[in-house]
Amino acid sequence: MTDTSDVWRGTLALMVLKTLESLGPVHGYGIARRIEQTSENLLAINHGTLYPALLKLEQEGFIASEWGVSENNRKARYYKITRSGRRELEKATREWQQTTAILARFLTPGEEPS
Amino acid sequence: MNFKSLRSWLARLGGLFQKERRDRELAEELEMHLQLYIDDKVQSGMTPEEARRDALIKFGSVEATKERYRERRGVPALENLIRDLRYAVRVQRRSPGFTAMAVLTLALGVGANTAIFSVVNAVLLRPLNYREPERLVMVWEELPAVGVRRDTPAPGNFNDWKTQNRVFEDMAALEYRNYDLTGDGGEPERLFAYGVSTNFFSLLGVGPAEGRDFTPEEGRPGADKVAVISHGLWQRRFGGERAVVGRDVLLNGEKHTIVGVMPRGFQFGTLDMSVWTPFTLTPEQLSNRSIHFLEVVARLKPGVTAAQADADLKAITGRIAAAYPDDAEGLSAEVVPLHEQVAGGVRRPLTMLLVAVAFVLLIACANVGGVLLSRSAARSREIAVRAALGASRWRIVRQLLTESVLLGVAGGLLGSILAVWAFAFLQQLVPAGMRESAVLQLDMRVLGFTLLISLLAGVVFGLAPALHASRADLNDALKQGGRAGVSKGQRRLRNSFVVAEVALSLVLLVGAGLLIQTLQRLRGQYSNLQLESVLTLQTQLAGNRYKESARRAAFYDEVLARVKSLPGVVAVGYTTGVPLVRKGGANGLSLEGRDNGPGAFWNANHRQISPDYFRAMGVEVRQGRAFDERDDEGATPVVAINETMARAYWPGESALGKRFKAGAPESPEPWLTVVGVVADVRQTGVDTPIKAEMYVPYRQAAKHWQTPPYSLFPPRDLVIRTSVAPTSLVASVRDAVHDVDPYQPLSSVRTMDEVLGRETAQRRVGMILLTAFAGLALLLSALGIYGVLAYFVVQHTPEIGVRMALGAQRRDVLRLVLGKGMRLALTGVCVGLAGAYALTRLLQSLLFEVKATDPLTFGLIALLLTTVALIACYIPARRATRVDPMVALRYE
Repeated sequence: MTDTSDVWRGTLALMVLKTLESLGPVHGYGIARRIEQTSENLLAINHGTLYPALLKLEQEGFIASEWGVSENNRKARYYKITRSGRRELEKATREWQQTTAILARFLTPGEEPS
Repeated sequence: MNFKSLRSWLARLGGLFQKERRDRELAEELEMHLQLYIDDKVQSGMTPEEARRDALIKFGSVEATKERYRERRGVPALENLIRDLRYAVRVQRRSPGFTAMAVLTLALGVGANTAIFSVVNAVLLRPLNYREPERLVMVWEELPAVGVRRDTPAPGNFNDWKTQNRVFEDMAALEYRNYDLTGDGGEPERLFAYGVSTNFFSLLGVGPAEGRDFTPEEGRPGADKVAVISHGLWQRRFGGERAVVGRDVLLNGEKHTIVGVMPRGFQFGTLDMSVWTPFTLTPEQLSNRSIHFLEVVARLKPGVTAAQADADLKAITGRIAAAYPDDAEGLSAEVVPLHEQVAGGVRRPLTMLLVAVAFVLLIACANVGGVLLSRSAARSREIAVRAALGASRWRIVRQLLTESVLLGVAGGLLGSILAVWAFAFLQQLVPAGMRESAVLQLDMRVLGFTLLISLLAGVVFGLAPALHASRADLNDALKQGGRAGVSKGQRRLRNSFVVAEVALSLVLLVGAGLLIQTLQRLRGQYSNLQLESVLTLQTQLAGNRYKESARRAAFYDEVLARVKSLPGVVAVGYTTGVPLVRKGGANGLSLEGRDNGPGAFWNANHRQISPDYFRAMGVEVRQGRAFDERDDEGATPVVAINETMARAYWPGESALGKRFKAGAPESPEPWLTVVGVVADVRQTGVDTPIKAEMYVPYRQAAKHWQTPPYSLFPPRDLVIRTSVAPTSLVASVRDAVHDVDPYQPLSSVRTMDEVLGRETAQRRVGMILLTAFAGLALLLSALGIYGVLAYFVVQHTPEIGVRMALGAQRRDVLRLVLGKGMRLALTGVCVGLAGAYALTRLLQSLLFEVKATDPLTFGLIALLLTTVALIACYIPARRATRVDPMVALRYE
């Protein structure tokens, strides 16, 4: 699956939160690269779409940002997850797992519900 | 809205600020993103050029990202609005002349509306200051057969109503009283007062702010005398001290204990009441049905309507009439809601003024709209460019509307300031019965109204030009290069604005003209009395000190003699009451040799006067003679009557020498011989019908008349005709009275002209306002015509130039332009005449001796408007004749 369909767009926020949780403070490019790496390049996101999503998360108070210096000495904006962001991540993860579990049951062949 | 979305909305609102910094940071951040990507790719072996290209592909459109980011950051609709507003402010600033004109025009329009609405709000919309005021009513007696309306009830009838009705929770009676206040160390002072049933305050649901209400026991005969005083008296006379409660004062020489002080703004009745005392109806009074002097207020039971109460009271009164034909034949009753009683009289004038100011606002809108139309034509290139760059039609309309609404709101703001400034003047429109309680103020309702009409005005005058502008043909507009002419539709629209303005102005002017004439006729009735040189004041003699009529007569004689000898006094007289102050009631008479049985309604207002009263007041003796010193106690009882009475009671013959008496033919009153017939004076009100009036010499009245109601009305008002300015005599007259009795208070000192002025004040204010509005309308329409023609001339300068080059004379050009303007004006005049014919009928009840369709007024106003229009047309027309053909053609 290589296109950024609606399903994926909706989960972008979740992926961003998860990335920030595991990596700590990181800049936008870092987030994009990490998402691509994690998906083993199966998911090629349009990097531009990341920024409105980051802004939305920040407005909602799930992430915070500040300016810092990158590994190769460039000025960059670093994002980190906030406490309410962690709570949101937990909640979203649980919901997502539930959803996938339900879908898995539907899609797995041979197992008729009794 | 949950916390998450609230938080993000706040963040987005925050995003409206510091846009530049945020934009810069975003650009930096995105650039960094690309750099980091390029760094990575270069490390893995790409050339920097390839890496950059790859980065841009990977990133997608940077600009689109920025745009989406911005949308997410702020609130686009709000940002557009702010941008429109900023732009609108800039546009207005670019043409300060137009802006000032438009804002001022709208301010006058909106201000007039705010002013009148604030009166409507205070008088008609705000409830009265009592508990559940909508359940309060007044109850009056009526005698439909003789046209007596809303008469004060007799105690016996009140008593029956109170015991037999099924519609009232409670009923209270009031009696008008006068007190001389002494015994507290201050100057003697005359106070207006009400004697009230002890349940009066609790019935209204407003108790004293200090002290306590009356107890029921205090209404019984023989109880200790107590009084409740007004906030005003408390402040003025007792310095607002709490300790006034419990204090003893003398009212008409009798000790009363002050038990309470009413709150500020409490008012009941039309006079400035200072004292309320409990009143007691004796058993004799409670069965009396012939002396009518009470005012009756009642509280409806919950759920009962005034109409139901009216029916119930009419039924009871019908039974009374049947049971007591001597006193109550033909008697009926009327229940009037208290608010109607107090404010009903101004509903019509206020409605008239509301219509007038609505007209003024419409004219203001038409005016500004007209100019805006021409301007939008001049701006058509700008608008076309916007449209070409992709602005939607709605977006353009919205932007133009923002401009006009901005103008409207600015006008509204300025208008409210104008309105507040006029409040003191407008307060005169508040009826006397709510003078204390209904204070004009800019409350939420008035502000809301003003904001609403400002916005509405902005939309009304802005919409048509905006729609027109946005519909303009792009290609044409761009090609014409900004020198675009007005489209045919726009021209027609602007022309119809002018026609409407002229028509509306004409209606207002006709209304104002009719009211001016009414006022002139009302005042003209008194012009032969030369009231401006008549001073009047009241000396109400307290009953306990002047019980004997001889003492009263001595007081009058002495005062008259002293005042007469003052320099500058031409004549001086005493009367029961001067016209328009004491309005008097009708009392029954018997005519000698006529059928005086039931069904005969001979009656007259009566006044007791001193011999020189007619000369002092300026009342002409038409037949017979005035009184003189010979008409004393020992002489034949005489009477003077007015012409109306002479005509009505002795039609076709001379009334001189005829005799009649007060009351029934068998009553002990003496027969009075008519010795004089005097001119009619409208005494009971400037526009009430003239009734029969009789005057008797006070010396004879004091001797003969021992029975009420005649004995109740000894002379009270001193009337002084002067050859100098009347007010310059006040001090010496006061001294003269105090020389006779140092404890006698004087009150209501004023010239008769002032009395008349007060009586006509409300109409005068209404007339002045309507005239001002009409004048404003006239000015605005003149400006409207001028604007259209001036624009026409500018637009047609080349054409005029060609015509003149081809040999047209100045006169032809003048005729062309004038003709165009006058066609509009005359169309407006015709439409206006028709409108006025239809609308001024609604004014009829406000007019006096003028027909609502008075042809002279209509003609003169039409002429006036045409003349003004002609002047407004002439200025641009003359400019057109000055067009230099060479210049005009070169311009082309």
